[in-house]
Amino acid sequence: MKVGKHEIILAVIFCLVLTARLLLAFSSSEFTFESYFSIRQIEHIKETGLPLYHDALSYGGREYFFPPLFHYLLAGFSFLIPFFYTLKIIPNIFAASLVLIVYFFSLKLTENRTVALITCFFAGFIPIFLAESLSVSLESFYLPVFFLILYLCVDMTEKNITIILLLTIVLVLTSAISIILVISLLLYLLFTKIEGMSPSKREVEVVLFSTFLAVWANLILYKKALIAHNVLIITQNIPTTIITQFFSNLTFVESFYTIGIVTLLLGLYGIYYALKTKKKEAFALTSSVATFFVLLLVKLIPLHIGLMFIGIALVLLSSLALKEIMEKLSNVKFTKAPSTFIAFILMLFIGLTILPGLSLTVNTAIPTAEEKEAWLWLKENSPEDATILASEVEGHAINYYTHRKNVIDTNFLLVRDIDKIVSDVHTLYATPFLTEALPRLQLYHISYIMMSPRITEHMNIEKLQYGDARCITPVYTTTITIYKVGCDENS
Amino acid sequence: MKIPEKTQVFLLIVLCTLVLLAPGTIRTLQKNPLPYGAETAYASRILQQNQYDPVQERPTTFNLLFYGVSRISFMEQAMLLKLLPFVLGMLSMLMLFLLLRKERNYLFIIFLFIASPVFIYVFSSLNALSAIIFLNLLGFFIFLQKRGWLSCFVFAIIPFIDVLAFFLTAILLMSYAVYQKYKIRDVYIIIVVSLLPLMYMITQNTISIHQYFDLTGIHELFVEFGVLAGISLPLLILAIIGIAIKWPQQRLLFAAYLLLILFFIGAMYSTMITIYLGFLLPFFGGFALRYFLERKWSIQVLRNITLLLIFCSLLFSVISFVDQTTQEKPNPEMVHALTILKDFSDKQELVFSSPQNGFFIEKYAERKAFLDGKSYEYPDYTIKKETYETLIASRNFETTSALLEKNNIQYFYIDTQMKQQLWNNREDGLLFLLMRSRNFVRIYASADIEIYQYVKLSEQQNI
Repeated sequence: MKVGKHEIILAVIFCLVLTARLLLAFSSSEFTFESYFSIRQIEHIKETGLPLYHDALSYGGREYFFPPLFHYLLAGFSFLIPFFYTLKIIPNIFAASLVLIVYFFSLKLTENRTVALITCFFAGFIPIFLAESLSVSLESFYLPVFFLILYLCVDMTEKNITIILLLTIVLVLTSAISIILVISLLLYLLFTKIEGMSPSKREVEVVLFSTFLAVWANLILYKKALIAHNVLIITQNIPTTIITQFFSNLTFVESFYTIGIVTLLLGLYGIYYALKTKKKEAFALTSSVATFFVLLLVKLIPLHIGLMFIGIALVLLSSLALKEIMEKLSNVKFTKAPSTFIAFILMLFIGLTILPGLSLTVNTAIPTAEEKEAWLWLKENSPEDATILASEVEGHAINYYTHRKNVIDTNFLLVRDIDKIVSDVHTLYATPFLTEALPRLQLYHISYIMMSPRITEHMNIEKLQYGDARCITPVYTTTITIYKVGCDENS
Repeated sequence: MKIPEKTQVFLLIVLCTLVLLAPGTIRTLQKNPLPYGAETAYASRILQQNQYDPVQERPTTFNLLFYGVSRISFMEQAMLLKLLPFVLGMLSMLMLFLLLRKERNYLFIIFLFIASPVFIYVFSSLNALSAIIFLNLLGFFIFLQKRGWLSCFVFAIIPFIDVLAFFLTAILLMSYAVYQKYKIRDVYIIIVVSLLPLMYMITQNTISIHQYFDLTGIHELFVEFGVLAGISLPLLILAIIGIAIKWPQQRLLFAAYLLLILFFIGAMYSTMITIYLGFLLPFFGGFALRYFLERKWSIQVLRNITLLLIFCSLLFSVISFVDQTTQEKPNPEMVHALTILKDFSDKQELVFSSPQNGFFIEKYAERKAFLDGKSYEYPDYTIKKETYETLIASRNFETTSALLEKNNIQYFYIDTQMKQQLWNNREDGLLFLLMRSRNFVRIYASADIEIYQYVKLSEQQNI
């Protein structure tokens, strides 16, 4: 590929995005709460060669199952780069690669390098993707893979087919999102058929292959979970209260900020333009937007995942809108109209998307120094078989730092009666009566109860009301209080 | 390369044998030689009875299959119960072969037919479905030989085994007639004539036509979700692809598409409809398989891998299903527990458990079950169902004891499955009372099973 001005700008954008990500990632030495699950898995793979499928700490002891490719990748890198830097750098490189994918995809859609550069700049700073993929997160890996597959499906040369097949296998071994890819591709075939454009032979064959691969692989991988949870497997067994919280914590207007107002408006116009001009390449993106939108509507996927996918798809579709605007502006007498527009749109994007997006990133939940200190204290001062009560958000971090059991965390698959556990945890924090708390404390064998500002805000309480009972002793008191539970049936 | 017809039949027989013998063989190797399934337990018990169930103390509805089997005296019953479904399975496969051998896709359809979990479920244990499916195929075969009048005799047998099955057969017959543009009047005549003996029996009150319909979720349709009598997801996908391929001929196959949709919806209400759906899917799946094989793929490697994936998905469904059957009741632990119950209790005493355990309690403990898989055929079913649900949910001892005494329930058979499904593994409802109240004495406990006895204490003892 000839290295011209546009390629240099692309490299600059990539470096800019990567730099911004690394700066944000390294602004704290901690990781997001969710990341600690992956970190434990990666450490276990490094030690034993296998993922930690039987975990003695999570929920007091349980089985997991998940496709481990992402964790193996990071474990592999950690043999070359120090562990901490692997966890901070590699996921951000994966996430930043989206910039390159969006550039080439946009170029295919518009055949306009300038528009492609603007679009890839947008993609690098989608607020929700930036916030959710800074730390060790699966999304930093499978999102770029997902869109790369879509791009290659649209640009289906013989060489690309081999890459598509390999990437589909990679996606299947990374996440159950492969099923959503298949639905998007099937919808794409349907759209093209409805619009009177016959899909090519290769497209049909690739989609058929992907369908059977995804179905077969997910049936095998999730066999136990299918039997345990039936249709609830689609929601990953996320408790109904938590799913509802996802959707109620974010208003309709706020959800637009997570995607970016500029990209949203341009993306919607892009959808209209694609349907009007029957641009086949855009149908793949439109079908993804439709798929994720419907899944969000029926609350089958977490809100942040749906918004990330929709956000990136809209960024790509916005390139069609940008192209049309630029073409119209180039016919205007004012010769500098296109470049003025570019400057204007970039400023608008920075003002309305990047700056609000940074606040989203800054507010991403990571453990505070006080919390870490409290957990390390617990690690030194509690028996090895102790169980610690906290909210589900902190569950993985508690396992990681204290090496003790938790009552609940955010990995809900293969957990029976999850709604009851969520309800019990809430009762344990909210009830004023020890008599109501006691059976639950015994049921879950709870030895310590954590009270922190995060927990009080999450549980919407002010304090542990039965905390002054005889058998409940505060053993650690700073901004965080840890209570030791010494209650038995006679308490 | 065309395989000679005799070789085709031989290979199909081998495949059929392997598939049908797998559940029983694996169970035997796992030291559980008992045939799986509640229906088999019921059939083996009721065969020798003459329209009266001495354990449940109620008349039984006339079932032509059981009547016919009970008249076979040249073979031991235990052997007969194992052999009969196998023979019916083989005959069904051969009947299908004869029916379809002039169709282009016949080998694929028969392969999918044999490789479907529904086929294994129906023909690896004795149940009414094995005879129904065989009779359907026989009736269609005779009908297609232009001997409609003779097919009446075959179709007329079906309602004496299951009335719903006959109506489903009638729908299939009419749909086929529309597809082949037969005179629909002739089909009506066949259906009506076939129904005449049943009508007569109904007027004589010797047969009941009660059916059990219960709305279940879509997850209750697929074997991948742990359901025994269900369809396979890969086969459904193949069938959908087959329909999509045949879509240009939509006028001809419109009836078939409509039928599939109706059967799919109906399958959420009745296991019988699920089974019929499971046997329809291979017809459409066969189109898809042939299409994949004969299509000129742009990339040969992709063709081979896709076909391999299809084969692996189907194989996975079968293996998964066979694995499930090996876990099915009864097992030695259950039989042991029920034998102890039989020794401990008196003949007149009633046992409370989930309806899924009813037939096993009657067979191995020889005691009356409060509810079983046939209770819906009797007029008191609604009241009993309400009582059952109240007892399961109630933590109030007074409410529970009143119902126990009213219904004369003395024993409770509780297994792990009930604890999971009815109480979510919590000490709730009846389970709470069984574990906490002094009025319930645990007389047996093992890893998965507990049996309690209800003991009336005096008022002072109750305080």
